[in-house]
Parts: sequence; structure tokens; C-alpha cells
Amino acid sequence: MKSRPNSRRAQDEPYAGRPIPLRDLELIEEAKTGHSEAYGELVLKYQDRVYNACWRICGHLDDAHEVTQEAFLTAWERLDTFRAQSGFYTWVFRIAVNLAISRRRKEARQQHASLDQMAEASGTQVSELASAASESRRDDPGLQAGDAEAQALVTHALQALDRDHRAIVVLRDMEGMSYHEIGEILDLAPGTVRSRLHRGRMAVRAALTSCGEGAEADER
Amino acid sequence: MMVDKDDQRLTELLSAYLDGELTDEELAFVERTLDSDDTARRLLDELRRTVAVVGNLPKRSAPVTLTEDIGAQLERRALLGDTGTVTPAATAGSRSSWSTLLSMAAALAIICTGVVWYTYNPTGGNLPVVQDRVARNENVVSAPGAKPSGHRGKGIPVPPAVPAGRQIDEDAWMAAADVTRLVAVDAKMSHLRAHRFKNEDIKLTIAARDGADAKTLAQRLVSTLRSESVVDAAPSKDETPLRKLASRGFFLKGRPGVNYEGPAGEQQVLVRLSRRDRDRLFADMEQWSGIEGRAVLQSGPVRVSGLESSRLALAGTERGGPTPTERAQPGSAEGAAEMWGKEAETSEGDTEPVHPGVGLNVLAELAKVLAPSPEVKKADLDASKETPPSDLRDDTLIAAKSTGVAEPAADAIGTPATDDTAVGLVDAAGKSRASSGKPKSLVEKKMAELAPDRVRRARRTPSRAIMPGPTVGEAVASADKGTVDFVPDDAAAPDDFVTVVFRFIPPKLLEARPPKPEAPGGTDTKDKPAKKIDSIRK
Repeated sequence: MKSRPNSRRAQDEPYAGRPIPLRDLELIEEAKTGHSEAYGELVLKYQDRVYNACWRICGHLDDAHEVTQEAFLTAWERLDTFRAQSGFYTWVFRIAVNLAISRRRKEARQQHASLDQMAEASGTQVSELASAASESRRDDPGLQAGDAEAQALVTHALQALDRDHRAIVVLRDMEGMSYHEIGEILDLAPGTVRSRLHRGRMAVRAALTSCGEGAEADER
Repeated sequence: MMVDKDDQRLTELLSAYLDGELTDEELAFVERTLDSDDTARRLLDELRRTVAVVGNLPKRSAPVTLTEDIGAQLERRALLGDTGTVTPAATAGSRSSWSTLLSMAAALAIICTGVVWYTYNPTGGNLPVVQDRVARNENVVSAPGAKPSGHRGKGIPVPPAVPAGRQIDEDAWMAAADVTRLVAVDAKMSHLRAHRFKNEDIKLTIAARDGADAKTLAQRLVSTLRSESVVDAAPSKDETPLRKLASRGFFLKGRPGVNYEGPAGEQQVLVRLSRRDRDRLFADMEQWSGIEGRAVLQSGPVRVSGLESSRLALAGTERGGPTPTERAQPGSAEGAAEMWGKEAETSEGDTEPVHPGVGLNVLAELAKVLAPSPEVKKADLDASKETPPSDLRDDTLIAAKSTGVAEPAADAIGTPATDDTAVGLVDAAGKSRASSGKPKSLVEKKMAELAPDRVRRARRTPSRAIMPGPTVGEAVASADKGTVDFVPDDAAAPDDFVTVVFRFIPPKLLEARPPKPEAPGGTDTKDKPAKKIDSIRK
């Protein structure tokens, strides 16, 4: 193993310790004074990322839409409380992820929201994933069907995680956030983020490994 | 350290290693392990692949409708008074979707016509919100999320929300709006500017021939307001749950306003501007005649305007809430009762509860007190005919009188026989009072102190037919303060604040309104504007 992942710290982690983009600060200040168009620019800037994260955490596109929407609405309403101690994206992510997690908690409390619903959610996301993967393959013919299968497995594995672990995996491995930022968003210590991320990854790895073993068995 | 002895710790370290989240000590340990342990390297590869697969999961762009949905939600929340407001200023270029959002906000429930109606208030606070048709159950709310602006104004008291007007007869409302007598903006703005603040209120209507132009107008109006106005706001404590439920917000984020919905769905926005800014605004609005041909204005006095209504409403807060009987009143009070019932359930503990039925009862009471005799009415009309239309206000008033569409609130209050709503209100209020046996409110007591003869005498005065007033508002003001204290414009310093109420009327109301008969005996002065508008509309 020759690579030095730690060398990524400064260059590849776009958010760790990174100052808030000046443009964001300008837009926030404008938005605070009532310029909703400035806020609109912020929304347009971050909505895709928030939406994707919510999709992965919630498991449904519809839910992701609602949560993303709610997150930006909430952020707008609370804009006066934003102190720029973290990035706007971190702040919005915090709102969005907590909304998403809260939503899952509510679902879990509902009588019919246990295993069947989770399975349905997972299935829905896999179905959505298949659709997205299909689109990806259209755009990238080199993408193999096996990749789509792996993605489906990962999606299943992610859905099988509890919400906190899933959120951490999504924020780290999809959003590239630092442990510190994830800790800020989820109100967790970086050490907790690290251990939970590890557990989440191991669960996903197990799913992929089983798939690989299954494939090897098929080949035999 | 052997892998099989502490596999979990190692995998956690490897996981963190991938992320570059190890301490120097941990990093050194992991690298030593990787150099010496094949299992650790294999594990690391698996983890790396896992991370890669997760990271490469397909991504979706947010739906193109998301921004619009956010805008719609902002609008909805604003309308419901749940939360903050949004300015509807359009954005351009790449922010097209947000622009759409803002356009939606600007359109604000199909804004088409605006009525600017302003009242001078050099003293800052305690200026009642204007409501011309409280008798028709206008809904008065504060802007969602509105916060005190912290400027010089003391804050405009928000009248209690009078029941929502969804059951209001739109035709009746339109009859009061008198939008068929529109005049070109250029012609009338000068009159407006010349005469504003000389009396208690002046109404300015901005109408547009079609929705698109109206939207443009509204956007520009709001944009101007947003940049120039300092809008007073009710303290948050005034935002009772029901008020939130009943509210109709407008979009003046950062300049919280007091916004409310009229009976037919028209929106009213109360803002406060310095006199200087107001002048600038009005100067700007004159420039808007560039979109004319379509944008037209009507100006003129509102004889019995919302001023008195709001005073009444404010006074009404001194009284207890509606009784169940009041809530159960038929007609226009019914929907209100429903709304207020909701508030009654949710506003418990509010420091300043809103008492919805009050406005109705007070107005009904006033309707009784102030209803002029037929002779008075005739004297008023005769006087108006005898007086040359020396200015816009006269012109408008006379024309309105001739066509029987002016004095909207007067119709509702002073001549109940011609207005079903007023009749209903009177009946409802009378019944409710009779059945509830509640003690008289402070405003009722004051009204009792106010000699009806005084009001009638004033209404008989010919000049009153031309120079609007004394209105019910004056009467109430007199009752409150012993004098009517409207200060002429020239007494206002540039930094004095004035209150402006912008009123936006859904276009369907304009379109649906049947043509009115030509005013009998109309002069050229009166006919020209009407013809101009007719031609515009055609």
C-alpha cells in the first residue's frame, strides 16, 4: 500500500477547515437584508448536494424533495441566526440531515413503518437507483452492469444501516465532509463519527463482499 | 499489534486512514501495520473499494421544480403566516428558477390591481391600519416572521383580524372598488400628490389591463418598496396562532410589514416610509406610466375608509373575544367564526389576544349610530352636484356618488339598507349582543359618548360631500382624542414617517365586474378618464 491517504487532507477535502466562500458570505448578508434573490442563489448552489444527501438518507426521492425543500425553507426562516461559524452548506446540511433523520424516526414510530416499510423504502431507492444507474450508463457506456449491481447492493446495505450510521456514511463518502463537519451537523464528537463511519462502512463492505463471494461461487 | 487480536480497532483506523483523519501517532501505527500485514492491506483495499462504490452511487440533480416548490412553500407559509416572508423581486439570468419563484411571489395570488392608500401619521406609532371594508370581514394580520424593524417608528398596532372574507360577495366588493372609473396615471398622480394628506386619506388604484402587466407593476412596486421602505411590524407576540392561520402575507422580507387580506382576496400591505422616501416612491410610480396604456390609476378619497375601521378594530381589542353565539352568526361572520374559533383554541395565553368578532359588532353598532337619514343622504348628493369638480377628489367623489359605487365602507356602515353585508352585520351583531348579554366594550362606550347628531350634522355639511369626512374614523378619532388630528402634508418633515397601504386586487375581480352605467350628468372632466380606460380595456 503505497498511497498516502492522509496527504489528501489539505487538497482533496474540500470542506475541512476551509473558509466560507466569500460569495456565500455576501449572499447570506444580502439575504439577511431581505434580498431573497441572493438566497435563491445559495439555494441553487447547494440544492443538488442537499437533495442527494437527503435522498440517500431518506430513501425516497419524494421524501428527499420534501426534506430539501423544508431545509431551505427552515434555513431561510432562521437566516438571522446564522453566524457564519460554519459554512452555509454545513448549516443547511445540518438542518436537512436532522430533518431527514427526524422523518425516519417518525416513520419508525408509526405502527406500519417497521420492516416492511424499510424494505419498501429500500426497494424504492434501489428502483430509483436502477433508474439512475441506467441513466448513468446511457451517459457513460463504459459503466458496467456489475457496477450497477454493486451500487444496488450498497444501496441496500445503506438502507439497512440505522439512520445515524447511514447519514455519516452519506456525508463522508458521498459528500466528502470531514469528521469535524459531520460532527457539527450531527452534533457528534469526531471520535464518534469515526467509529460510526467505520461500522457503517464495514456493513457496506460486508454486503459487497458477500456479493463478490456469491459471484465467485457462481463462477465456480 | 496483530490484526486478528484487534480487528475492529484496526479497521476503524484504516477507515480513518482513508479519510486522512488519523493523528500522527495513529498514522505511524497504521503505516507500520500496512507495511507488515497483508491482511491489513487487503482490508484497506476492501474499504477503499467500499468507499469508492458509495461515492460513485448515482447522483441526481434536484428536480427543476425544487426551487419553484420552495418559492411556493415560502408563499404558502407567508400566506398562512407561519414563517418568514420573501421578497418577490425577480432575479435574472442564470437564476431563472429563482426568478420564477420570485415572480410567483410577486404575483402573490394573482395580483393584478393595486390600490395605494395612504394615511399620514407623523407621530409614528399608533396609526391604525387602514381597512375600508372591515364590515366585509377583512382579515388583518401581521407579516409572517415579521420582526420589529428597529427604526424610528414605534410600530403600527395591528388590528385584530376580522374574520376571513372568503364568503364575501365579490360583486359587492367590486361595486365598492369602483374600478371602472380609472384614470390615466399621469393625469391623476399630480392630483394625488397635490392633495394627499390634505384630508384623512386618499386612495390610489393601480390597475392593469392584463395580468402580465399587472405583475410587472406589482413587482416594480414591491421592489421599490423593498428597497426604500421601512416597514413597521407587529411584535412577534402579536402573531397569535390564529392570526397566523388567517394571515395573508406579503413579501417584504427584512422590512416586515403588516399585511392582510381583504374580503375578496385582495392583498393589502402596510408599509411605513419616510415622507422623503414616499415622495420618491410616488415619483417612481409616476414613471411607471411608461407601461401605461395599461397601468392606470384611480385616485380619490375614500369617504369612509379603513381608517375608522381599523380604529374600531383596534379599539375592539379592548373587548373580550367573540362569544360562541357571535361565532355562530350566519353569513359573512360564519367563515370568520370558523377561523376565530381556531384561534380561540390556539391563542390561549397570548398576551394580546385577538378578538375577531369585535370589529363586526363595532361596525354594526356604528352602522346604527351613523346611518344617515334619507334627507341627509339626499343633501349630500345634492351638494356634490352643485360643487364643481375642482380637483381629483371632488371629481372622483362626485362621479362615485353619481354611480353609487363610492364610499364603499359608507355603504356598508352608513347605509346598511343598500348593502347586504352591512345588514347582515347589523343583524348579526345585534343578535349576538342581545344573546350574549356582554357588557359594552370601551369603543361602544365611546361611541355612546359620541353624539350621533354631531356625526349627522357633519354629514349634512355640503363641503363634506366634496371633502370627505367626517368619516366614521373621524368620529371615532374624535371620540378617542377629542379632535381629529390629521396633519397636512406640509407639516411633515422629510424624515417623518407616513403609512402607506398598498392594496392588490386579484384580476378576476376586475374582469368579472359588470360594466357600470355612465354617470348621469357627468362632465367632461369625469368622462374622459372613464373613456380612456374603456379604450384601454378594449
